[in-house]
Amino acid sequence: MATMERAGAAALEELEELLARTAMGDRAAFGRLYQLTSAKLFGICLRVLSKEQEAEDALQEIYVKIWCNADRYRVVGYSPMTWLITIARNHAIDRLRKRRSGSAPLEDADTVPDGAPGPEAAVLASSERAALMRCLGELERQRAEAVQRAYLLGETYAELAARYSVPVNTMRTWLRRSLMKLRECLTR
Amino acid sequence: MSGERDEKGEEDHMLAAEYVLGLLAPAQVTAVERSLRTDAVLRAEVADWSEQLSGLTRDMPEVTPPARVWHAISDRIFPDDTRPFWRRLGLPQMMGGAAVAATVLWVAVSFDLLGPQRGVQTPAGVEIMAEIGRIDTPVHFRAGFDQGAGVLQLERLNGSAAAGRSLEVWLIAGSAAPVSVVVWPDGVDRLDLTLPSDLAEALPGAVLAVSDEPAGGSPTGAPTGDVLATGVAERL
Repeated sequence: MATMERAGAAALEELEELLARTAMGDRAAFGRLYQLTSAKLFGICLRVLSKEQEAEDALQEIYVKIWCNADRYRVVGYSPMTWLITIARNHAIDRLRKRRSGSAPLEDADTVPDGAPGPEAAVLASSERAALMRCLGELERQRAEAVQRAYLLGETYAELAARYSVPVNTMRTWLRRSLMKLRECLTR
Repeated sequence: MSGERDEKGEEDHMLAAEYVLGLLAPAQVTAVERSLRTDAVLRAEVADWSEQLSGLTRDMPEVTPPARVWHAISDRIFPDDTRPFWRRLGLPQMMGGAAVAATVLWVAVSFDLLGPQRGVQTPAGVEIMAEIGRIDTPVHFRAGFDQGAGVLQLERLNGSAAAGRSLEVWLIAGSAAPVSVVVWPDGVDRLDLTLPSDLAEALPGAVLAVSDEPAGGSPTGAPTGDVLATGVAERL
């Protein structure tokens, strides 16, 4: 929780600065960046991968990527935390998908939060997150859940279609409509 | 790969969202990444969706990782007390005070990093892979290593040597000096190389780099020209 506070508006400039210095090979800056952000990214790895050892391995790879690619941060127009979270999420999802494509069973039954905001939401509420959750809440529950499953578990159209017992094309139409509604709501 | 480029407007919003979510087929991902290089609106869409959807992680509790994770990271990127490999290869001058110049080169590259699955086809037996460069680096190679057979398969996906120059592939393991893997032969897109056992052992976690060298390869045994692409060899 502390990190997100620090990573909030007050620390935005610090994170920008740390990423810029990391891009130039400044080890101290990278160490500080790790200090400030690793608990958040590790939380994501644990949530997505739900296995401690794999989450540790993932976190290691993620920070090596951040170190090697910090020079690319400035050009994509993301906020620093979004950039870091996106790298972490994508890497964790990659691992999860690889695991799934093997024979390991899916054990994610309770890793997806409800579409409605949970109790911590009130405590941690930032205006954007609140808006996202409110807008997800406007979707039918299953549809909100499908968006979350895609983002947090990397489920594909085929997997989602199987889960909700609909044809893949229907799933695609469904999800696209949900995204359109979500967007409408978010830009309101 | 072709159809998506025609889609516009609302369709683009949805493509951007599907791209961020990782729902697109590999060919569509390639098409979106191509568009991202030139289409500022699509770029903003992708950034916006990434920003919004990253909100889904905000409720996840923070967990301080064990100290061994940081030790492992620093062992890999700051081996001993030596400088990072690209400093030894002469890259920092390029990135130094004027990071701006480098920025242009990396615009589209960034989306590759942030994009979802690339849908890489992994040949049987390959346990370690490296993506050397990205769709937009001057050259783009892919390496797969079959440990059982000791064979490194190198594939050139894009880019070639400048006239009168050669591309050379290097392996940089931890703090060790770069070791030449091969001078890339002209007109070849695939090479299978049997690695000596010391190189094979050093490969996991090592960096593979492609540099621009005089024709026939570096005369000194160490990289002398620009580093055109790098990638980390990762276990699958």
